Amino acid sequence: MTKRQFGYLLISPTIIMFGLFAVYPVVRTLYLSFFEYRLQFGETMTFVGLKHYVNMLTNERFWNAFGFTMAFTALTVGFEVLLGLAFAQAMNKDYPGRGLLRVVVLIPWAIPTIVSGFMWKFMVHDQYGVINQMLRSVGLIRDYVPWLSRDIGAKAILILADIWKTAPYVSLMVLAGLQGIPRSLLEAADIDGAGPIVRYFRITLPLLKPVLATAVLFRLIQSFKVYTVIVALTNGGPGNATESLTLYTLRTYFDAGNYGYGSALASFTMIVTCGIAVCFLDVIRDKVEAGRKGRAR
Amino acid sequence: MSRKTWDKALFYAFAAFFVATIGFPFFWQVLNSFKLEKDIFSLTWFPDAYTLANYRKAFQSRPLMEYMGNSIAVSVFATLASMALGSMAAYALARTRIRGTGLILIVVLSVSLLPPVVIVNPIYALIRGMGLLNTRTGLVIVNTLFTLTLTIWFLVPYMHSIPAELEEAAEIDGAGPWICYSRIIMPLVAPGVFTVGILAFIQVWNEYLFALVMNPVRVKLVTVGLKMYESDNYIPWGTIMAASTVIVVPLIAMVLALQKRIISGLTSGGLKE
Amino acid sequence: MKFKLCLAMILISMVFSVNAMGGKDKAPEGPVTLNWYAHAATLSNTQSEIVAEFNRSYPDIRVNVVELPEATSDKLQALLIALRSGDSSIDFFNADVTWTATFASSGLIEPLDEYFPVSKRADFLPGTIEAASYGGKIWGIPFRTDAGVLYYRSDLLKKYGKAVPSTYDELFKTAEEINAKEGGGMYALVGSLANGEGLTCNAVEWFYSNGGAVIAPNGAIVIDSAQNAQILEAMVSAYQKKLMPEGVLSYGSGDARASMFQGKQVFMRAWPKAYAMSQDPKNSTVVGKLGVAPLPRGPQGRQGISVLGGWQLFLNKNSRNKAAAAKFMEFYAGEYAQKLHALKDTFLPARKSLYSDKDILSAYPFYGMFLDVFKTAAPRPQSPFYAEISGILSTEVQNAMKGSKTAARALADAQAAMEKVGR
Repeated sequence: MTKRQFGYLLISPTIIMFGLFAVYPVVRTLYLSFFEYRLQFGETMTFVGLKHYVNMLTNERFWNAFGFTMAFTALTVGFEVLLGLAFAQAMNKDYPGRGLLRVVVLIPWAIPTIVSGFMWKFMVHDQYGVINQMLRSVGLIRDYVPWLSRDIGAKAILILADIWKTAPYVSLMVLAGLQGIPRSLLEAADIDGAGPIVRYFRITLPLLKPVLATAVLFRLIQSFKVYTVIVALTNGGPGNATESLTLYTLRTYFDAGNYGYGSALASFTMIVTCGIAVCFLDVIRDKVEAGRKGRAR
Repeated sequence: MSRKTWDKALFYAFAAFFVATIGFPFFWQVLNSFKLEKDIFSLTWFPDAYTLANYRKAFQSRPLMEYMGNSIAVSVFATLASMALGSMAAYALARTRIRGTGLILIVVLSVSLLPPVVIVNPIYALIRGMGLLNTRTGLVIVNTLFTLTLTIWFLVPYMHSIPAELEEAAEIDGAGPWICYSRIIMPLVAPGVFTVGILAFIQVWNEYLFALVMNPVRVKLVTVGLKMYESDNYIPWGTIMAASTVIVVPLIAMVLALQKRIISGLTSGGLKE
Repeated sequence: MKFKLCLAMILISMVFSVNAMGGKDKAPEGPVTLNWYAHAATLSNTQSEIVAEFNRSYPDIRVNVVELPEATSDKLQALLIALRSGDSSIDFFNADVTWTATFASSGLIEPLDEYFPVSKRADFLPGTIEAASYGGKIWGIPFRTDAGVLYYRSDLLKKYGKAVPSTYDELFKTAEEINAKEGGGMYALVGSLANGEGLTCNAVEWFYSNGGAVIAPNGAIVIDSAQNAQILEAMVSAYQKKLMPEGVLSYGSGDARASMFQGKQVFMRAWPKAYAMSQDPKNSTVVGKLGVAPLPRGPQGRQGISVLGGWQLFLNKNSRNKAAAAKFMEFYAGEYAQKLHALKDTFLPARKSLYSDKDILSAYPFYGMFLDVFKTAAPRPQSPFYAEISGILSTEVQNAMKGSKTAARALADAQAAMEKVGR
């Protein structure tokens, strides 16, 4: 057996796996989105063309879910990047105790999303939530606030819970980027008389760009598929204020048994995801090239 | 005070704030898991009496041991499968000059970006067709898929970083490709495989969507089982906090024991939630 | 290739061993074990008592109770997913009255005409049989019915010489007065108004009790009506005047009960089973202080109308033990079991005769009123697409309650959305 044949042998399980459980399902979802296919009609399928897409685009619930998901994505990723930059800057100091910071950072990352959702639900409870107690004791609120019964409150808590879980991880990625910046560059700028702020914006940030771009790409896409934290905290309420696209799709599939329309929603999610990915083509090209050529990252 | 002292003070002030905000929810969960119900409801921070009753209830009112067993089985097997397949694929992609590496890498990257909701319904049907719905095997397969992207991306650069001369020397000595792979390359990348294995394990342990959709009534994993405690009568917060702590403790222990590896793994790939 | 071979063997054996652990279905031989997917056990554990009694007559049929998730929508989701998979390990299961059309039309359950013929249905309340029927066949055996009722603080009404209100206007006025005299801090009304089935029940009762409807007998959607708008507006303004707890839009029935049991409510809309819980001093500060009455009516309604709730048993089409399962299902819907549930859990029996049962009436005198309640009680809209209809209804009602839409607009939107369902 030649080495190349051996290579094909080794890669074949992966190709089968991806073909069967990723490529085929994607094609199948796209295909089903053109059919009427419902639990209540047995397993029969009728071609209906673009009907589901037309219904989707004229459906208020869809626009609500899309709007919320977009806002959630923009806000969480925005805050996570800003906080990640700040945290990483702090963790990059050589003071004793920074090892502890790095361990603490890992706690929210390692905790299952569903568990962190319950934690937050408990902390913001309208009668025995510690957050209400704290806010009242410092005089910010007079009465306990039923956060999750209000649109703004429920959205804010979801965003907060997501930031808590993910910003520390973003900061770790940024930290790795910071440590890759040669000290000599910053020292040279120091000698040239550049202050710390100028140095940060002229040297550090531009050099962090590749790391940030990767982090933002993955965070955008992960945030866009938000689901688990919502299930634990608000289950889409109040009303459907916090119903994300994924939650809406899963309810369409598995509560209503409407597989055709659900597939249209899922296909839309995929289209948006592709759109996001296209905005970051450079990142993707770099990644793939690095994988092919073994270029150091 | 000098600039240095200011800097140091600022750092510690920040560090204190950071540790407090990040750690508090977890601290509050663990603290309340030991409290009596009346102290939870009256928001007494540090009551006079603590109790293990919540932990007893967590195991008795729902089959938490069974949930844990399911999660351990699925996470371990999916991780092993992903480590095995991932290292094979990474070796093939990085070191054997097969055709189509670019295309395969693009597919791998796309799958890692793919929202699970896009494929959940066809995968449900596929797994059903294979008769594996409501089994651990079904969940192992799905989780292997999602962690496989991680292991491949992590291990391809690792494979590249090993000097070609090592393999070439062995080939001159007459070693076939299998010997090169198993005797030379694998021992060298073993630490990397282990590191990515930890990341994969945590990812599987925390997965919720597929665990819910594929095994709603029979094989419950911890993430799905946790939702079972909420009852119509009331939410037993003490019990939920105790169960959450039980679920999280293995992960926290892993993180503390293996933090160096985890950090190096996380920061090199950038492909993990 | 030794290593590779080993690896392959390990992988293959892994897959098989994991599969084996997942539990293969056993063929029925000798004593049968049935898997019953049921509610989580009640505090009094009545389910296992009934199983034990059943085993006295049928020692060869073992019944293994498997608990379903607590929320009704989670139960539905879990069961639909599991049954679609062709899972034969579920023999029979508890099903809500609203599920009949969905399960029957999708062919996931077995019709029961053979096991539960017309001759055996005489003692059952007509509403429960109607709810179990679809397309000319019967699909469920009812073991419990339910109807929304009004709980009131009998001690406070007596103290201030107030009658039990028969209209919502009266209810809010009475409560405001009592609250003022009691020094504030109490709410007028509470119910399970979190987005979900509980809210659908509450809202449908408001509509029906004001002469409105959701789906007309001819199948037309009629939710966008003046009657419905009027009563919904009244509820919105009551909520915004804080006559209901501010958090009520995220309250499940447990949260609503908690508010009542902690003495913060004058009135509560809930199911009868809350009564047994309210009399447990461990959870409740209002032991001996609650009364139960029919629901009030709206300004245009002739009387308060309760929605019918309740549970029945469905038989999985893929069950391998249908005959044995049917035996237990019949037993569980029999007098012994329903009476025990009534006495221990204040479940409402689906059998008429039990409402004149001496033991039940002496324990809970208010059971006497239910035969009257059932005369007018109405089912929720019936549709194979019930889950969607209900989801639209509860979501739009919440939109109105929290003030992001007017009541009229919310109902118009609900009308438009419901008209699209199933088309």
